[in-house]
Amino acid sequence: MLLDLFHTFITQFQTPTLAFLIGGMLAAALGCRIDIPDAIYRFCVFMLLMRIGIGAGVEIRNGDLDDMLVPALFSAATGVGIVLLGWFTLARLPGVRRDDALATAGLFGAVSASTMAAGMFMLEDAGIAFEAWIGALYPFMDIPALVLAIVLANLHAQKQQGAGRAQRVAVWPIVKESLQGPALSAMLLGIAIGLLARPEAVYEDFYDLLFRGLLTVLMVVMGIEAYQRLNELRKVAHWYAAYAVIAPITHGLLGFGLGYLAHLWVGFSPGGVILLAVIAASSSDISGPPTLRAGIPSANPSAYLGASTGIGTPVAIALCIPLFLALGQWVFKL
Amino acid sequence: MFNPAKKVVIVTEKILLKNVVQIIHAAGGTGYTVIDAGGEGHRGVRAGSMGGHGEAFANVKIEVITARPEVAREIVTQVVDRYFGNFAGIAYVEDVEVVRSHQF
Repeated sequence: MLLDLFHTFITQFQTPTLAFLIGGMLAAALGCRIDIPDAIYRFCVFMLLMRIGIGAGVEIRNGDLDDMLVPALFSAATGVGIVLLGWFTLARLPGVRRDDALATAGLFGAVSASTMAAGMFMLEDAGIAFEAWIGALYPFMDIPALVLAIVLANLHAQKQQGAGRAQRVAVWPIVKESLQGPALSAMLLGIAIGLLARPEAVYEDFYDLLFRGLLTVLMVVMGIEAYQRLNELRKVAHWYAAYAVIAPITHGLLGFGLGYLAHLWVGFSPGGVILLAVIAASSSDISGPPTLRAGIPSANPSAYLGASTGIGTPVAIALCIPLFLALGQWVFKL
Repeated sequence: MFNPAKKVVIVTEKILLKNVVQIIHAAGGTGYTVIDAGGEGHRGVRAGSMGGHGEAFANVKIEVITARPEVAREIVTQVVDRYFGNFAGIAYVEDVEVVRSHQF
């Protein structure tokens, strides 16, 4: 089994997704001035989420919405579980501030669209089928994680200030902020179009066609970002680096476990289980950071961004995707 | 032709723009100008744009001109009290001379 795992690993390292990610990191480390404008990065993200959203919408239109219920519930449970896990581990470590830890856990509980896309890409390459509506699980994990992290951080801040009457933390503005974020709103628009219109032609000739190429551009940007954020991580407690390596693997296993339950219970596909693990392992890179910056203003962005973009995302893509792919192949005898 | 007025300058995180604009309106400001900003201060170098996180951690320079000094002081006080504990930012007030003073 170990040999199989190792073999999958080596194969994955040669896939374009990973090669471009590592290439981006190396380029940044060598001081190369590859400059991909922010607007292009945003456009790539839009294209990716449109593709995922339309795919999901078309499948939901043609299929049963009931199948989604259990995986969606489990996605929310994973998002909540990740934040609670962070609250009971990272937040209790010496030299770690509670609000920094909660923001970090919230970001790791939230979902990265690019990691999810990379996971789908690798599954397609490996010839493993999955439900196209998997993308629609994104908000079910993303929003509960962000909301819980922000609510816990605010409750903690109020307790510390010794405010006699606890103020209620308004949840709806956080949910609204997440839904209006560039990533989620693009995907929801895609789902709506897939559901209500007949976008098959543009889907096949445009979105699906460009998906892989654009993902490689995104990977270069993420590699460059990862290297830049690593420097910031040096300014905060070393625990963040340890958390950022261990957390994606732990969270992925949690997702895999719940996905496996859904597999036994409602026949969630093996590919779906692997993707749920990948989504759980990922940490948000587009819409999560601004939401947290606004929701937990006292938290230090160097801590949570350094941990997630600098280490968490590369670990999720380079380590977790091949790992859970191999685990899935082993568990389901694919 | 030339009339004295105050110019409030706030350089801060772009994420706060909406909130600062609310404060400006609440204080009685009638308009403002926003420019993308970058530079270095006590929180280190704050680049103009940083890759994928550019939008979230970009900075802006907000200028408000008002003929009423109390409006200028109110805007600065509110912004500093509410946000500068947790967010990067500087604020100051300048004396300026405006033309077409009915605009302010």
